[in-house]
Amino acid sequence: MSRGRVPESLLAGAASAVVAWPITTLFTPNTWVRPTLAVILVVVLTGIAARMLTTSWVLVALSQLAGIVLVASWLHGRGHLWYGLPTPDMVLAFNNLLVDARLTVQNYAAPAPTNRGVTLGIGLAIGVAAVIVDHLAVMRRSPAMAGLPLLTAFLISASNSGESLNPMYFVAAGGVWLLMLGRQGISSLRRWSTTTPMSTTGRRSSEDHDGAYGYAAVGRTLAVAGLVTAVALPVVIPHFPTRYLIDGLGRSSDAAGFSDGQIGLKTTLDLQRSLGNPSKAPVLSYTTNAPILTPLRVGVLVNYANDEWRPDDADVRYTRRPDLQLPPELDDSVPRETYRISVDESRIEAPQIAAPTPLVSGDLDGVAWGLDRQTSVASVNRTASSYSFTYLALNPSAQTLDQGAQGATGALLPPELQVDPESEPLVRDLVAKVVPEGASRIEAARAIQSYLRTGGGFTYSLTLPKTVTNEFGQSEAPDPISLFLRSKVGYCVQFATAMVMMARESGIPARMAIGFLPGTADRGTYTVRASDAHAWPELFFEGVGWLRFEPTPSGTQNTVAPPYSLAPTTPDPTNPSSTASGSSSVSSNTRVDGANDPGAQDPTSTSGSNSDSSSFLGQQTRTVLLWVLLALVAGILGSLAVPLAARSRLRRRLKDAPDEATRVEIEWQAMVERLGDLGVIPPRGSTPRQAGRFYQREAYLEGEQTQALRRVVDGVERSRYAPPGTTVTNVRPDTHEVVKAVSGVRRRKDRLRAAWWPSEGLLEWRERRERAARVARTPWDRWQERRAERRAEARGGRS
Amino acid sequence: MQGGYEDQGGGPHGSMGGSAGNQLGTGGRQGAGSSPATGPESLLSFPAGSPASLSQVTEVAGRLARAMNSVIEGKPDVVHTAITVLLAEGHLLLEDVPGVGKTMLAKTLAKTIDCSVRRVQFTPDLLPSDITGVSVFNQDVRDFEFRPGAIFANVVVGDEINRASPKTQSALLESMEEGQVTVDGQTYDLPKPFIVMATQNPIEMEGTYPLPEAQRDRFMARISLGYPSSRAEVAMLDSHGQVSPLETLSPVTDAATITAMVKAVRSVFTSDAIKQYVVDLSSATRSSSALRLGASPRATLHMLRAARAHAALEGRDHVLPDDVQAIVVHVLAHRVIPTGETQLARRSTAEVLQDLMRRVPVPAAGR
Repeated sequence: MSRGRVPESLLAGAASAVVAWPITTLFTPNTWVRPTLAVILVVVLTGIAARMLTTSWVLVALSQLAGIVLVASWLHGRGHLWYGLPTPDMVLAFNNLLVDARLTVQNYAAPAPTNRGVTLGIGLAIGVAAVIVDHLAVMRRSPAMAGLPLLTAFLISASNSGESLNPMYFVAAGGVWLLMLGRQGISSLRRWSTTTPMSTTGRRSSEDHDGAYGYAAVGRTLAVAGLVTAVALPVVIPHFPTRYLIDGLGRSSDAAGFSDGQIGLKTTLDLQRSLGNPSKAPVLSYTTNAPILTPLRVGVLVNYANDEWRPDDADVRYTRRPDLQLPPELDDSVPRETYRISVDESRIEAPQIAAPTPLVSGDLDGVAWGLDRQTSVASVNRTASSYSFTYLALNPSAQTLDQGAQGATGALLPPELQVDPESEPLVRDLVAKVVPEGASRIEAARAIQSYLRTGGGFTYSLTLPKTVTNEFGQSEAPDPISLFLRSKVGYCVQFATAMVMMARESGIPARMAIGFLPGTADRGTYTVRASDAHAWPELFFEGVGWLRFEPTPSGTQNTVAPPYSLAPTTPDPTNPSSTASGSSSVSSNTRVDGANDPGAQDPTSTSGSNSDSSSFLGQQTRTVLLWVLLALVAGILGSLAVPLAARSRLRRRLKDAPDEATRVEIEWQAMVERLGDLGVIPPRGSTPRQAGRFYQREAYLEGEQTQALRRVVDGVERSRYAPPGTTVTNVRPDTHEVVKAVSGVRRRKDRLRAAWWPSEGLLEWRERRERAARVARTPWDRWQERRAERRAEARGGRS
Repeated sequence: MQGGYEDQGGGPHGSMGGSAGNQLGTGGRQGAGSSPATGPESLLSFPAGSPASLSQVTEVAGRLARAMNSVIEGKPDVVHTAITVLLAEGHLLLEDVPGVGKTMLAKTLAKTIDCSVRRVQFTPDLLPSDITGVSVFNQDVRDFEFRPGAIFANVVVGDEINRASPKTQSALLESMEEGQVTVDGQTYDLPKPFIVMATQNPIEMEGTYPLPEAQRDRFMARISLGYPSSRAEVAMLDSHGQVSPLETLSPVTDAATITAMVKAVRSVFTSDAIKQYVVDLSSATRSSSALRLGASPRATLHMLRAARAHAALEGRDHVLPDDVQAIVVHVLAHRVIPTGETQLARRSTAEVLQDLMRRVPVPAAGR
């Protein structure tokens, strides 16, 4: 039984199973679990059986692999079996299944559907991992090494699930691995030789046990402490953004909270933050029958405080077929068209889902969903990768929208009317300037949009200014909204926020919507990328409901203002630039279809951003190279520190030596150290003569080298043991000869270690450190002594 | 004189034995140092009191070894140890099963030196006075006269020492340690050089009084001869066929030369490092968990003296740690007592000592 090493094998199997556990977050449903457990069990049992029969690790591993193939054949290859054995046919079948699995993994974001190919793939991969773990942990008796394949398997799950894994997965995997380590450590301890410990009392056997217990206790403490630290530490330390050595490689947009796999839009919008380099990673693709595209909304934010938008708690009931109702305020007279949108390959994480507004019906392929009761934002309880919605495109007439402005009065304002108090004076001034006296709601909204979009001289930029210069020429850093309104630089979030605040100031309820621009078209399919993330204001109009406005100018993003938000045929006399705004809006309106064509993108801005990024990249590369160079220089200098210390130590000691005999002794010690660094270490109790014989034997010295060694030994014996006054000759050339001869027969590794990491050098550094510590301690000690003396005096005086 | 002891030395050339005996008989003054050695022309002789040079020591010791090796077949290391103990002013304990040549070794060493030799066969009824001597009433001078015992010789061969009663054993061992004998309040010095070579059977044998630890401690070294190799045994049969080689053996040196050599050995330089090493070894035996009793300070002293002799026999004027290591087992093995567990583990004391030697570091000068 002991040859089979049953407990170790079972532990190794358990470890393989536990690291496969987090794969449950990657695939759904979990039908792959049982076949995979069967494969692991077969690996464990085959391993135990094979170990009882043979000691060859090759045979054990081969039998385990054969076991995996057999189990996989029985599970997945029915119809390709010949008396229970796999046939050549089977290879083809497996190949097809695995290709299937690959396609699934490539096409689906986690959790991907589990099909037979996936089950087979997981089973084979985990089976091979189990064989490797079994080999390392049981055959090689080094479970620490087995941690590497285990960690690899674990990290595959952890890095692909797109979100932070539940700590229990890590605790389980780490725990089993530590168990393996502990088991191996204890059994190694028990296999130690039975040399009796040095003790004069009769408690030897019990002390033996104490040793084992102590070892185990320390091990347990360390293991628990390590696990707890590993789980607790990430909670305490802040999560740093991902850093890349060279910019431009696999970078994802951090502003919108995208990760490589799945995507979720951040529902808090920090106005002070510049948008990073947005990713071109596709978010979703869709087809639609609508002639005019609308942005896809993901969320709505109402509360603005402390310079950022904060989400409300969701109030949704998820069902397969929610009872959709049009907004109650929507008047039947409003002209409308019903369109349909079919989304594929959406990577937006639950509960978010991208949808146009307002929704009429939806088919989410079995995923439960619903509309928020407060904001009527659609959300899902599980990530839906393909779905379709029908929605209304409203085109309210000017008459419908033309309702009188309501003043912002009363202390108890609804949140949709609350203006950020910090920026309110500036917003009020601005509204007074921009919105004509006695303008209707829609006129006010149009004026604000026009002001922000074209008339106000705002510039679209992903990089926000930090400060703004006031009228006295001093730079100030006011709140973000004021900063934006004064510096006139920002991106969609700032534009939208400004419009929301100005609309609220004008008495129009307004809120912030976040989502995606319509994206780019390719043969009828539109692809929305992460860089299409967008924010826009929604203003409330009686009889219509929440209407989208578009204050963000058409910069790098092709933002299109909805037709109802544009000024009617007659230009507004109060806003001289409204003509331009109107024409530009019209022109952008006409560009709607072209805007979705990638070729229609403004060539100057593209090249500009390209040249920007390339120069940035170049600078970054140069910085990196500089750092690498500096690190290299520091590394070389650092690696010289120890050998140089060794040399200076030897030179100093030789200089300080009072006589030739001491010098010979120092040379001898240095030689012994250097030969020890080379891996030639004579037994502890060796006399010089025995050490010499040992060196000669170990390093195969001959001829002149033996003579040199003999002269060295003779010199040492004389210097140490001969009567004073005996002439001792310098042995330095001889020690060099011996060291050279010995290092000639050692391995390169030993030679390198002896050259770069000499123990004499380490000793020198330790002494230097101690000297420094002593110097630092001396004043403290002196002070302590003086205090003790004073106290003693005081006591003496009292007595 | 009940216990049979025979005078082996003092033949035609045995001036030492005779003169020493006479002097002791009359005045109780020791004679070896004061009386001039008058050996045969072939022997190297030295003026009394002056130490020999190291080359002379090695030369004479080499002749001694050659002569002894011609009798004791195939045991050069045992012979070397015996000579080392002789030069280190120690006493030798030969312990082995009967018939392997213990007595032969002792007698051979005695015979190669031209000096007074006495052999005492220890029996249970041997009395202390047989060893030390006794005062008898001389009718002619009407006074008590001291008759020296068997101990008054340069070389005393105590055969089967553990067969005598402890009382008698202690009489011998006391005189060994002191180098003198006190009878009836009168102290008599023993001749120089003075070496006791005692043989004993292993203590498990029947009819033996095991030598107490305190008395074993007084022997500088214990040697076991062990069985000879088969070739050596055949050669022994050859050489012992017609006539004992012991009878044809003639002395190669004399007592004065040995005394001079002993003085030379005393002058061998011992550095502080060596002294420290010897002390380290001793204290290692005391703290070793495998030993119940460690080495005594006397053992430390004996180790140093033996190491000096060993160095001198190699022609060196200073002691090396290798010299110490060469004699440690011989000097310490019979003094330390293994614990019961060590005995159960069938580890001999020699093995324990070898193990200690491997672990105790050799001190360097100035450390």
